[in-house]
Amino acid sequence: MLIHTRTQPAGAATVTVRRGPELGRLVSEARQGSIKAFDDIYRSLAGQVASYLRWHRATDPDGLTNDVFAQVHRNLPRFEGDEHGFRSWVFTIAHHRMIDDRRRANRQPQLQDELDAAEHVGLGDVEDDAFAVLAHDRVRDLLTVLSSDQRDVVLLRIIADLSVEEVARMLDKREGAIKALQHRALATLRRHLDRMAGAA
Amino acid sequence: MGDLSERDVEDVLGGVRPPGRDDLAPVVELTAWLHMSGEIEPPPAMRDDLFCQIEDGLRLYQRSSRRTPAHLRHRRSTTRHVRDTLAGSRRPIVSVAAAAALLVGVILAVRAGGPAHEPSAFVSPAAQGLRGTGADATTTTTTAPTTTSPPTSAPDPAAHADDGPSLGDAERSTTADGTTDPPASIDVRTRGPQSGDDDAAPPTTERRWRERDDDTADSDENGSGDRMGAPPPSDATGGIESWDVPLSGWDFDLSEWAQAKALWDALEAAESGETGDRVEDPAGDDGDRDDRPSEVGDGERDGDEDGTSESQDVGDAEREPSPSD
Repeated sequence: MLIHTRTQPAGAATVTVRRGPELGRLVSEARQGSIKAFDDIYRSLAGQVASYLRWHRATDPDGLTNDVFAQVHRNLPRFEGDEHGFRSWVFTIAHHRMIDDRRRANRQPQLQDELDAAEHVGLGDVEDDAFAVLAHDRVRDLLTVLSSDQRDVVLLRIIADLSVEEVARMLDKREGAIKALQHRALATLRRHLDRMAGAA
Repeated sequence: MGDLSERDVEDVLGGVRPPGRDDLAPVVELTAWLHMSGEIEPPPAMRDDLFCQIEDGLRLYQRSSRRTPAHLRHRRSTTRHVRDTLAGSRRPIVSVAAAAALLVGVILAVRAGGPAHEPSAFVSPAAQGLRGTGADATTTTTTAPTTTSPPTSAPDPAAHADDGPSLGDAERSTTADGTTDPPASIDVRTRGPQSGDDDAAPPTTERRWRERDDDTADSDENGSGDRMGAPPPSDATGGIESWDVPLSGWDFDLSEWAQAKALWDALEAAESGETGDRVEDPAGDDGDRDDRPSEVGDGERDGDEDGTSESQDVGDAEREPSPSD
């Protein structure tokens, strides 16, 4: 059992991320009807799912996260696989929900201020929140220089912590295409950061 | 772009700066921030529907998705419960038998008593009195032997033979001298089912007739010679022949409402004229005065222009206190 506990700087809350056999055991218990096991799964993955949706600028990341886990709960008896498969499965649902939300947002455009306000998550301290907002906005602006496919790959690799094979399976692409996308994404970010540093 | 190996890409995506690649520090900082943001993101609050869904358990979703909706499941369970409850009892049979017996009883009652209780068969006390006048030659009272009203008309007794249980006809007795003597125990307000005609009368109408009867008795005592249904006191000497209102139609048909209203207004006007006399009437101690209508129509008590009243068939015990009392 491997439990990574990271205490983030700037007053960030301590988050316990369960991976490996721990998550697999919870999934097994949840499939047998354990409410507590599913609650632990929700606490382990809901934050990452919400962050993934937030970086994708979903209109309502928290609501979509609830929708994702409602579907996970409904389809859990039909799920077959280990902890890696379960993680990939959860983010696949989240990704599909994000696409649906993006289509819905295109039909009903929102004001940019509403989207910006929905992205910011307070951490409790005003100063830390201010820096977090600035950093969040900076990262968000950086992500906008990427194409949609590049952003999907980067976020799935980083936020969802999925492997190349899992991302390829999830996005229905070949592994070589995924590797090429992530390579080009990092190169684009590097160029953009160098340009920003030269301009400053 | 060629200076990034596949291993360097994996390290950068993992938030680790590759050894000897300080030029990738900004990108590594970015990916590290993304990692951190994903891990410090608190789980959003669980909505009620998701919480309830988890509370319901997974067993509900292990079945087919085409399960019966909740409201239909409830109805089906309720039906099953009622069916099981009634399975071992005879309650349905008893209920059906009771309903059938009640229905048969209602039908028999309607058939037996329907024609006698038609709404059009209602006859007001005045009309009953007139009918009694037509049926009887003379009508007297037991307490006033000196007052005998002559017959006002020569009616055909057979013409009212099928009028049903008329109060005056049913309870009236004939004296030795040929006069009809109504029993004193009969009271309009305490009449039983034999006075079925009055039962169909609206309460307000009956009350009005009582008031008018009381006024008539007072007027007779005062020598006005007025009678119920008679014209105003200015025409006190006029008999029933002078009254052109069709009495046979006093079943309060709406078509005659205007005439009845006019007559009532005239009587009220007359009453208002006599109120002062009644208050000043020194006959408050007359124990023999009749304050209630008799079963005999007032039309037969007319003709007493001498001021005597012949309708004193009710005893003192049943007499209502008059305003002068």
